[in-house]
Amino acid sequence: MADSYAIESILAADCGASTTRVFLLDMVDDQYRFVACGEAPTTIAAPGNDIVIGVIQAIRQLESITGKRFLDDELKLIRPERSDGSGVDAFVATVSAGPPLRVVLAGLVPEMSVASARKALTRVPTLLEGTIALGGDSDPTEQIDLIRQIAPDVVVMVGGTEGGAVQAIGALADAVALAGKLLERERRPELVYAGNVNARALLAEKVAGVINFHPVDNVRPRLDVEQVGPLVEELETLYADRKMARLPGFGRLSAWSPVSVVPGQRAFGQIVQFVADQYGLNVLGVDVGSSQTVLASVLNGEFVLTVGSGWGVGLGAARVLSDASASGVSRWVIGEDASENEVKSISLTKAIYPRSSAMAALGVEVEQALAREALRLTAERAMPAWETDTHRPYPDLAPFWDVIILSGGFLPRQANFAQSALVLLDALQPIGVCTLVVDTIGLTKVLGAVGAIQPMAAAQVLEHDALLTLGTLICPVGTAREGDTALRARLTYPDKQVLSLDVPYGSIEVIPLEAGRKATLELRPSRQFDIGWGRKGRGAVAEVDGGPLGIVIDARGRPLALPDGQDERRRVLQKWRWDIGY
Amino acid sequence: MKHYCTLTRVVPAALVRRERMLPTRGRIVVGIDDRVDAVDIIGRYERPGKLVRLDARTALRLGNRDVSEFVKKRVGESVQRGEIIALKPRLGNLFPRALVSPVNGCLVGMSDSQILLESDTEETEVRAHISGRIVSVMPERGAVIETAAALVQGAWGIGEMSHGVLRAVAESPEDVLSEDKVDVSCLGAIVIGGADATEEGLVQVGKMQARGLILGGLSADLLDRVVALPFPVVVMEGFGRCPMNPFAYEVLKAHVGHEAALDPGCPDPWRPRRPEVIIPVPVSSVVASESQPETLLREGCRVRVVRGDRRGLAGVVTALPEYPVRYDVGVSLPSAEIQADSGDRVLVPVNNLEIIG
Repeated sequence: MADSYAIESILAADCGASTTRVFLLDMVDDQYRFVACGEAPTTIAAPGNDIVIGVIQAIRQLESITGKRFLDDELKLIRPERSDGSGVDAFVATVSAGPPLRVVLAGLVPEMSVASARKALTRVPTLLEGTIALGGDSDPTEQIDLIRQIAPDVVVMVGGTEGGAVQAIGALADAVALAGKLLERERRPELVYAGNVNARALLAEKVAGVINFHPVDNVRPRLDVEQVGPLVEELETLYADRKMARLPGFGRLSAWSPVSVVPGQRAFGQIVQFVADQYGLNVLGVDVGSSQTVLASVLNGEFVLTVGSGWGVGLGAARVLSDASASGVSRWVIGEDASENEVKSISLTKAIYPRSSAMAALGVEVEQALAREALRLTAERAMPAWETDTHRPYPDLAPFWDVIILSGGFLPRQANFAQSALVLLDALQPIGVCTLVVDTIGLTKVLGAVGAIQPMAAAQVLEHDALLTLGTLICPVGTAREGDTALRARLTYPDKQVLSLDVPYGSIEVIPLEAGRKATLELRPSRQFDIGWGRKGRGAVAEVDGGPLGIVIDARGRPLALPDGQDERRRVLQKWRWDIGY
Repeated sequence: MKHYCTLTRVVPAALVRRERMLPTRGRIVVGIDDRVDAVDIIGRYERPGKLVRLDARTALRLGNRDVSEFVKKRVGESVQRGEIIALKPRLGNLFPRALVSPVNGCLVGMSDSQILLESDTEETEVRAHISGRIVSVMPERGAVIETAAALVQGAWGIGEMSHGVLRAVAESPEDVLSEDKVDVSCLGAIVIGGADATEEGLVQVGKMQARGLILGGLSADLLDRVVALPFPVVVMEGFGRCPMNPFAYEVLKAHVGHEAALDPGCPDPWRPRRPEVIIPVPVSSVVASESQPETLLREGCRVRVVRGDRRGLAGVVTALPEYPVRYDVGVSLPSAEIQADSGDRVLVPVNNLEIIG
């Protein structure tokens, strides 16, 4: 519940895996505005071992910037704001620090209920550590051993349509219960069951007194029906209880806030939903952080959150390197002398010092390569959740987004926005025409939390300070011979000046259009190319937004392919960078 | 503007307290105020045995009959190899069919006709590795050892904690550990290498049955080789060739010939624990308890550089520019001016510094 006094000034903390930022929002000319931000290393590990230390240090930096005092001599928040200007009226926090839920998935049919459960796991910070498939030549001893060795936080069990047989599920529950008995009480997993409702009572009986049992609605009540929502909700609750709330100092942090501390990815998702609802658009939010990558999307009104746990450009660099392979990361690196060994060394060192900054071109390249692969891996997880329809006509490609929001600790902080845009274009390969927006200060997450105590503050700061329109992306789908015209563009500026150009296949063209200006863009794609206006070859006229990037036409085709040969690959990567103004 | 940094401990002498924990519940065999040497055992725990599944119905050829009436053991009971677990009398008990245990162990589970045995668990000892005094005992879990020690923290480590006598094979922090530098003096020692190692150098350290290896940097392509070594390896600066920072190198070098504990820490990305070298020293040389130093960056702070072409450089902060500094890679970052021992002054982004304290 919010405090009873009027909330004007707000401190909003975002405790990331590596960096904690605290933002000051306050009334300026009767509007809520962003005032300043302080940051410090996150302190959940030794020697700090207390998340609040990092928050206090970020507040100290904020005090040194603003000249205001927010903490008293006992390091308690001064609330409400006093007449001398010290203190704030409210404090809220989001937390993305801390480990994900470690999960073992057990199920009957890999293509059905297990696939649905996997989809649910991608929506919560989870690491899938092992899978037990029932039936076939599956050995119960191996199942028990797997659970005993992994000692997961949660076993998610699925299988069976409503009213189906329960014996197989019962046998699996025996294995889980026995594995639980063999583990120390405090290391025993929770059992979340999202299968045939008829088996609930049997399962509850089998694991009673050994493992906490959490039955939820079946993820596959019928072969043709999928409902992952209840399983996602239960996993979110377990994540909040078993992971987030157990971070050292979390209780003290929670006590500062009148509302619950929100997981960072959920708060980010709330803002993406807000933008989509407000304007009736298909919106994709992209957040590449230190230890996780998040894609929050609204497509045809349906919200989907996809969490790439462990994939990031910081603490998550080692896992990206492992899951995408060193060659997968290295393929994005031009550096003449860059060996895979060097790319690995830079990546692993970044994982040790996640807040460190690259000081050489090769270091920058490697970090951006890690971001590309983190995004690609996360997008692969998101793909099954995006329905194929008119907004997603190509099953192997992303949907047509209206707006893409770049956020998180990495993408908005590149040397220039062309670099951020190229990482996005390479990794997610958006299609059609969309507006590219950046969360320059990193406010979106905390605004999700601010909305819970003062929705007006969240809306006004989002509108005025949080998001900057970078420009318009135009990405035709199709292939042609390199150099053939992919599309013709004719831009009419507000002063009636006209710019016409033919965009060859394989290139990126940038048309300048200043921030805040709109222009009329006529696009005529060649007959092999689709820009999302009905069919291949169909052109149209649209009003487009300007920004620091201008209008970027990515005519490299979809899906994007990198040449195999080293020299040719380097030549092409370099050309793309020059094209976009890297 | 105030800036906070992460911290690397490099302390010539302090009163250090470290937990030594069992991986699972077990028995702690030391008590408060006990003096322990590095080799002493502080506790024991049972390493889980192997699971063995038996099918009584098939073994006894029971068809559809209820298995439970033929099983002679209960869940929780111990069994010996060859001992009968289930028995079906046949032909007036003249030729019974029996299911016997293939292992010494315990019956841990039974479901329908499936019988699950766990072979005998293996008692495993946890050693102190640090000489000192027990100041706290967590029953069944572990103990806290207090010792006067020099403490040097590193960046990355792998393996199990160990102890041994420190031997330096690097003549300077820039040296690379090669095969020819490793001789019999490294036998059973914790070897202090240089800025990197060659593959042959690592093999040779392995042949000397070393107790541990400390390097400034490590080429990432040696990672697979390092993971397979039977002793802990600690890297002080990070991956790639890199000289050890002089503060750490000086402390380690000063204690060559002394016994040290090498803790590789835990590289868990979400809650990492720094690797460290703990070198017990006479109590008389200790000036203070290991306190929690400030992480606020100030002029006069001792720092080391963790990234960029100055990586491994250590020095003292001489200025904190008010405005961010623009670097060649095109970014502007809050920075500090560092004076190295050589007298050189360089500007380094604050995020690329760690306070040494």
